[in-house]
Amino acid sequence: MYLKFIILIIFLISKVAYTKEINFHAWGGSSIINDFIKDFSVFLDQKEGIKLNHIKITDTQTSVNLILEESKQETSKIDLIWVNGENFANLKQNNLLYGPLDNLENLKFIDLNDQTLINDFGISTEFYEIPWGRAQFSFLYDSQFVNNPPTDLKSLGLFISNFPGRFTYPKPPNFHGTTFLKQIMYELGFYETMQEVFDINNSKHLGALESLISYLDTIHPNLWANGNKFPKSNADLIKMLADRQILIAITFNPNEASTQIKQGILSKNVKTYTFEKGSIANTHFLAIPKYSKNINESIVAINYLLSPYYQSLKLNPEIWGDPTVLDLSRMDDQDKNLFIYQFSENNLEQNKYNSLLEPHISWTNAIEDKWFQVYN
Amino acid sequence: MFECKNISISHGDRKYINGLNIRINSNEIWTISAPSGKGKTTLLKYLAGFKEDYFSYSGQLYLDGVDITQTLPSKRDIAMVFQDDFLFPNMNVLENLNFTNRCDFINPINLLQENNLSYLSSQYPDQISGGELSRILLIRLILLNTSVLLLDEPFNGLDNENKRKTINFFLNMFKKYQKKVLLITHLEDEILDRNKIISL
Amino acid sequence: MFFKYFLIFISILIIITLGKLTISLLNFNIGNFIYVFLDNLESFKLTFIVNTFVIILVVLISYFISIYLFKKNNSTLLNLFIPYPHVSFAIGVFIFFTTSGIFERLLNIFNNNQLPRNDYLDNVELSILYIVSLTIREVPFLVITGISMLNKINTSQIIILSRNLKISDDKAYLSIIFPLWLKNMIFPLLIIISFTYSNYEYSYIFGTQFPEFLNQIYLNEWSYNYFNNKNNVDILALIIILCLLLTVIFIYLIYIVLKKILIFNVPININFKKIGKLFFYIINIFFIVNFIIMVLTSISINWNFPNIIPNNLTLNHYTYILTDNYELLAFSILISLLASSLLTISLIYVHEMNQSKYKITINSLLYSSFIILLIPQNIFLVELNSFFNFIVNDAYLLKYLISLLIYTVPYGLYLIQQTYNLPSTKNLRKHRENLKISKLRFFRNITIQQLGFNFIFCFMVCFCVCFYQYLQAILITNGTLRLFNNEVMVLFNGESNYIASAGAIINLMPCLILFILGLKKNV
Repeated sequence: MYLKFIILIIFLISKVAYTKEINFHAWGGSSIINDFIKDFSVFLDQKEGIKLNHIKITDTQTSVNLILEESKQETSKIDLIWVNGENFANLKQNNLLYGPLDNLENLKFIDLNDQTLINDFGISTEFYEIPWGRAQFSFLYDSQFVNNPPTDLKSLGLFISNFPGRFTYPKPPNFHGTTFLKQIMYELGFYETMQEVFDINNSKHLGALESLISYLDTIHPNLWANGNKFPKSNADLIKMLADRQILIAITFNPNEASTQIKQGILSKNVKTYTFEKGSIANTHFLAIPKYSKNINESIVAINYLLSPYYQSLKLNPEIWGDPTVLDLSRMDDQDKNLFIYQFSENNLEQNKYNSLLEPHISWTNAIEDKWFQVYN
Repeated sequence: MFECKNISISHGDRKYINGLNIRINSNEIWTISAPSGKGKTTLLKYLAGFKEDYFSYSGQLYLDGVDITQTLPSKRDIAMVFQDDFLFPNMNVLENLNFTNRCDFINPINLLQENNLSYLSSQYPDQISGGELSRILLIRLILLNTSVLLLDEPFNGLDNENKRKTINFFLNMFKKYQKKVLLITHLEDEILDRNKIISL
Repeated sequence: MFFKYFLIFISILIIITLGKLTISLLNFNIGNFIYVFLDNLESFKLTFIVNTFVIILVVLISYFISIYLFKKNNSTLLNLFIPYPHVSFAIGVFIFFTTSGIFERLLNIFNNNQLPRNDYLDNVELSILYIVSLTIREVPFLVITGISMLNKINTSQIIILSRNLKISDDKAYLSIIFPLWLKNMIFPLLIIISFTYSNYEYSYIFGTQFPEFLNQIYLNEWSYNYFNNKNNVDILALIIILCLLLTVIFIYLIYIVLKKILIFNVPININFKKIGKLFFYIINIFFIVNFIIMVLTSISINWNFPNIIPNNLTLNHYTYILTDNYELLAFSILISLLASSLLTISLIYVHEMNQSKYKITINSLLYSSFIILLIPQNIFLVELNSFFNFIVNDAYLLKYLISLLIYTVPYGLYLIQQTYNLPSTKNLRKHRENLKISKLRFFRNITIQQLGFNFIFCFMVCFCVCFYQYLQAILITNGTLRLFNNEVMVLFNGESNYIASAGAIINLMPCLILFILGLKKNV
């Protein structure tokens, strides 16, 4: 009798457990993004009968390591991965991505001359990853307490000393934290230098790192927790901003404010801005591991995510607000109209700020190593 | 015939039972009478098949010529009433008796009626008195239909009136069913057959 | 038959994995070991001090409360705290005590500042918070076990005897009963030590601001470096095991010293029952307040500083999580049901049979799960996973089920052993044999009636243990299969404490309902 009961349960479990087909490894730290992916998976199931399973990861590097490990047995649990920067570089160098994916139907909407879409931290993608969305380094601030948000390094330093404990950044190697450090170095005048490959023997390069540390030394004592501790991600910064522990937070999504206000997390007083001279903009991508068992299904998924419909949905400031990678001039009017939205004044003012390129990928490790050496 | 040859029970140097021989035929009641601490209960348990790690045992047991020394208690044609015996609390008296009945030819209800105990059939164990319990336990023992019955101080704790009733009750049943009985007691008035006493 | 082979299979799996683990751990370079050890010395000290503190406090407080509740009948509420998930408890503590948390807002009533204090919880404060939360959370399990242990060692009779010998009750509790009690509590104590060293929830929820524990460092190393630098990861595993052994040795030494001191006739003025009562109420208040905070957070939006009570209420967070995750919740409940029923039935079967060949099964299971408790869960799971991959790579569900089962075994085994070691249970067996009743018939009609609640309790505890596992999803299936408990941890990673709290409350429900139903049946 007991055996029958157990067999029944096994049967029920198999109904529930094995209903997914593509494992999509994507950062799960934002409920807004999770919602978007969830809706997309419902659509994909209804339209194509493909089941997409969003594996909510906290750190892409873990997934990269998994791909590396499983490649030894020429298999992969991961079918689709949301990736960019050093993680992409790692996978491409080890020849672990499927590609080139240069014959996707919706690539026709992309301006292939736009270097930001075919280069990732200075490395050519060669269509081993497909651009999905754009990011621009921005600040969120609480306008109830901050009237003139600091738009350059000097005023940032002043703000931090006038409001001790009300600013911080995520601990590197978190990508928001590392990008903040890069942004500081751009403000310090090292933009051109950082487009070169980092060379440990180059005194100019070392000098750039030293300048960063000097600046950080001046602001750390007045950061939140006196610079002894750092939050782990920008999600923590959002929570701290909501709770008024800090007054300025960092984000990559220029339309984050409206989505968080709609969720009831941030107050209506929160607004977005960035540095006057411009801020780092990058692209985030989708890629398929070489040994995935569901390559065709993953390709179909990527193509849909690249469609005008889903790109416009992603841009909707009520849904995610993530800027599109598509070139509107390549669409017909019907599709173009999908991209017309009312952007609230809480978001980053469009076309006001310059986009700056990411530095060469080698600088990421150099900056993180230096930071660890001094502050850890 | 139930035969025990050369039974010894000891612990270390201390011998509780030394080279004891017993022979019981059908329709006989034998009594072991000895003061406390001599090993009566341990002996009786051994005969029923229950050993304790504390003691060392030796000797052979035969029932109708067959060696049953190594037979498991559940397979032995011997049953006993323990000193701390009880009825199962989740069943009433009749259900208890039906549950353990191994006699095809006896209906527990009839047995209760014959002995004027049918008023107890729907009572639960915690609702009956000590004297009533002793009699029900004896009925249960009879219903197990084993040829040997072992009784460990079955009349313990009963007042004189109840003791007399229970003893009479038992003697009546015993005459009817031809059992081989071994009884333990340390009281004079509980010896049922003065010609058949084993001393330790 | 199936049940017996099933348990033997689990034991063999555990033993082989332990063997492989020993080999890989002992295969290290002493120079490397010293380097890694010195690199992580601060973390080693912190882990040792904090965890040892927790364990000692848990034992003492549980004893006091057990004394207080012994012979009283109001331990029911404590029973309901056992299924309270650690992650939910940790989130509640965090929301209460963090800078700009509820505690701070209460203090702010008189100041009415619009910004919270420019402050943060430093390492010492976080360590204290960690010790207090973990201790309070672990006490209920040890109290429930402790009370039945007091029964087992005939506490009432000892007290009566002591009074007859003119020894005060409190002296008896300290000098006679406590050593006896502790001696019998080795297995539950091991469970507590094991959990203290294996848990992540509190340090995870309290954030990376929290000073790093060894197992946090280990998991980070594993995530980043396992495939490049396995040696480092193995050395860290060894260091954690040494830390745990150090705790065990330290506690044992304290016990030996105390034993010598306790037997002297020193006048004692501690009123154990009063202290027990105080701690009992503290624990109750802590849990209830925690629960209230979680519920309030889960039904509000915009509940930001300096508001003390939420002004906007909504059930949206619950509908959001349930519509998103009903399949995950169903899967978690089903697989926990499967694991706990399989295990409970197998253990009961093997104990019922009680022949010498089954004793080997029971003993091998007992000793192997005994040893697992001494190894932090993450370390064992990493090794188990590499063993699985060696044999079968793709059967995710089977691997997942087995890895969940392995950690449920110590709890199930302990509870069933306790049941079958009761004198009354042993007595039953004797009666069954004397009355020549077949095993199955006896089991159906008598054993289930007498011991039914013990079996149900074992099943409930196993269900909860299984339902709240989470490392398996990370270390065995890399997120492909996971439990709802994992989802709560991920939700807490997001921007919304409200959603995380709703998830935490939903997480609590299946086990709590099961416990309420089970306890109601007993009453």
